[in-house]
Amino acid sequence: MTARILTVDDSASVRKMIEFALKSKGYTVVAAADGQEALGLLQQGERFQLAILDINMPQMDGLSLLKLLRARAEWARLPVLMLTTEGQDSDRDQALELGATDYMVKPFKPTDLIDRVGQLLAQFAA
Amino acid sequence: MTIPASELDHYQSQLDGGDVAARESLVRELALLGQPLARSLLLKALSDPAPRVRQLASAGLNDIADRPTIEQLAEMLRLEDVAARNTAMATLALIGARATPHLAPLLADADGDVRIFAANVLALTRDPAAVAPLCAALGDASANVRNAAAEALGRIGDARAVQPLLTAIRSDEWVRFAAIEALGQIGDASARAELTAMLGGDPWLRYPLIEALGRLGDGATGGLLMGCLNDPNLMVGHAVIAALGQIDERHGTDWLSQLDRPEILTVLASALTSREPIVRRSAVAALGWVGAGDALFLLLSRLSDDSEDVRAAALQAICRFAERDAQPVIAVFLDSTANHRPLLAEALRHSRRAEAGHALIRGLKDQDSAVRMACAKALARAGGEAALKPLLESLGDTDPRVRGAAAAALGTLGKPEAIQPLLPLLDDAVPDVRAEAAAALGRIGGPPAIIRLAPLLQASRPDLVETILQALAAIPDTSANALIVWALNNPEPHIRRLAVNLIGRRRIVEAASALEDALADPDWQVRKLAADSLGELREPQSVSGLLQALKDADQNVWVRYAAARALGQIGTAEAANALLRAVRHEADIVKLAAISALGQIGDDRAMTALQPLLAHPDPDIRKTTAEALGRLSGHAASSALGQLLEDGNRGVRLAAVAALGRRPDAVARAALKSVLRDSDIGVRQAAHAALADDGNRPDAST
Repeated sequence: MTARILTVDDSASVRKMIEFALKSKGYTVVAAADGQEALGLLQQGERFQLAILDINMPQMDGLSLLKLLRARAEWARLPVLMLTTEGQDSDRDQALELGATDYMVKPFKPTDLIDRVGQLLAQFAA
Repeated sequence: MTIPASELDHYQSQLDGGDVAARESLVRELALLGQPLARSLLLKALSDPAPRVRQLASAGLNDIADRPTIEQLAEMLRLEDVAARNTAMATLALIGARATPHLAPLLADADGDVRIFAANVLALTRDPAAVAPLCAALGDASANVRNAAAEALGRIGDARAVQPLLTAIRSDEWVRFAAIEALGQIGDASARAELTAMLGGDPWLRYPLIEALGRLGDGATGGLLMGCLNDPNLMVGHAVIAALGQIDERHGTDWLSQLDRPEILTVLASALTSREPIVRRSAVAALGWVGAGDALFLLLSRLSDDSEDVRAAALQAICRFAERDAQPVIAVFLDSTANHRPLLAEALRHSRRAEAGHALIRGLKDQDSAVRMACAKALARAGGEAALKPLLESLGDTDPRVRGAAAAALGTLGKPEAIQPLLPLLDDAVPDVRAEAAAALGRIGGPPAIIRLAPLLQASRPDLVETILQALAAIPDTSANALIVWALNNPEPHIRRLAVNLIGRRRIVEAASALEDALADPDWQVRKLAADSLGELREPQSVSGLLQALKDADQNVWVRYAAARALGQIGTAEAANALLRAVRHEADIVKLAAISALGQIGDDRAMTALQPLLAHPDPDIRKTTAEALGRLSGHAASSALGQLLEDGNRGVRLAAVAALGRRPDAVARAALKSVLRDSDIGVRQAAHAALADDGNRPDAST
């Protein structure tokens, strides 16, 4: 079975880019436009092996969603890759403090994302 | 502007303390009353916990949409309260192009999130005036802002962005994906050659390139894209299907009908599960052309698609089936155990086959009321003469939705025979049915409808009278006007308010004197709305009545405010004289309306009256004075505006800059140059823009 990955970003083009890159490696990708939508998917019982969260989003930002994930037993161990922007070191530090598994700084290359996702999935499958 | 504390407290306490229904009702009332009372309260209501209240407040603010409202909405982009911020953004998007001058400066804000929010709202306004600042934002230091700017340029769709976006594709790896998508949305053929050349390059860009070429490719592009159908990433295959559908629609080609190959049918079936509606839509369209047998059931599953576009495409595809062979579709429709029967009724509406109409008439007696309702709706278009009698019978259906749909269908058929049977529905227990019946009678219209509606206006039940008035309002010609005016005699204040409002909206000039009488109505809202409507009619004879209203017997400030505005709209010398007096002597709220009205009239005598207001303690008064001065001629007005450039309030300075920017004289230009060193970046940018515009005027050097 292919890994299911949740990607959450308010930018339509970034969502599509991530989805396209990961689907090219055969992953199943479910995209959400903000934390609220992602939370809805999780509450409906959708299961994922990895979540990729942008930090700045309307409705519910990535840090708020991360906090909720870590507070609930069923989602607390879900690996989370945070997407940060150059120069937002405080956001990155806060994400790691809140329990993010790893982070990537935008801009990044699709191949770098694929590599990082592969590493994380392998690490947590082990 | 200072609103009297007692007034404000009254509404404020209701807004804070009432239940949701009470707050909804209050916000509706505020929206009807309009400015100056409504703005601050509606802005506050944007933070209401109930979405419906926020939505109503947003609609009310969109109706006001004056400069102070837009400024305050733009400031709300800084809020941490997400619901309030999002509603403010949605309101600005509704307001549209008028919000651009207040949003564009925020693209240079120090806060990166604010820059992104501004780009997102500008995307929704789709105002071409935002293209230049958004192109500049393609060079922002933040990758997220650059990306948001590219997405916004795509949404706006202006060809001036093509070259900046192509430049971004060449130099900015991160924005490349968004920029290609934006070029597709713009759809300008000048980008076609460069995008086509990139198709054989970076494989990570293949997907957005196919999407973009679907939007701006020519007929021959379809052949190039067919070669990508077997890409191992299904997203590419799906994008090709969507692109072929778009090219077919635009160029009249038939690429989708050439997909009748077993391996492609598999891709089409998988495309129906894509999350992209445009992919599902093209796949559905293709199946309409090439599918047979099993394809009908695939299409039926798309009748409940989340996307309206896909559902519509599925209906169209099923209609193609029905055109070729209606029987399988009718058979499913008449099978009481089948799904989607109401939607199939909708599909049959598009069929020109007589047997489809017969099936719909039969469906009016179906056990499922949803099917009966769908059939009634469909027969409005597909029924013809044969549908009249069955639809009249459906007016007595036990389900109010069916009665409403039958009434609406009869309104569309427009047969006078339906008038008498529709009348009892005006007194139906269900408000929606009454409204549908009223609208239907309005659509049928003509003397027979008027004759039957007139006696009902004397009904004792106010809700019935209101329904009749709505029916009369739906009659587009002038035949209903006399009855609407007659409703001013109704004892219920809310009926009189509605009648007064309708007279203004329909511009019933012959009702001017009746409106003047309404200025003495015991209900202050009727008086206020009467003044508003007299402003709409612009009849000089109404000036004397409005002058009385300016000194409203109850001293109601909102009535006087509306009277001042109306006098400005009429604009006679007598009106101007009264407004000049009001500027000197009236309460601030009335003064505000009078200043604005004098600006509207453009009477240069206003200069003397406006001069003292340059130092008025209320910044709203000073801002409005700046706007009014901008409409007066002569160097004195320019000099006065120059004084306001020194004002301590940023909003006042911006208003003065905007007013000076519209003036061609040398005094104005010199004043604008002096403000290029203003401490506020927004003011400096506005001055730059005004001077640039000024340079383009033919008389700029005079």
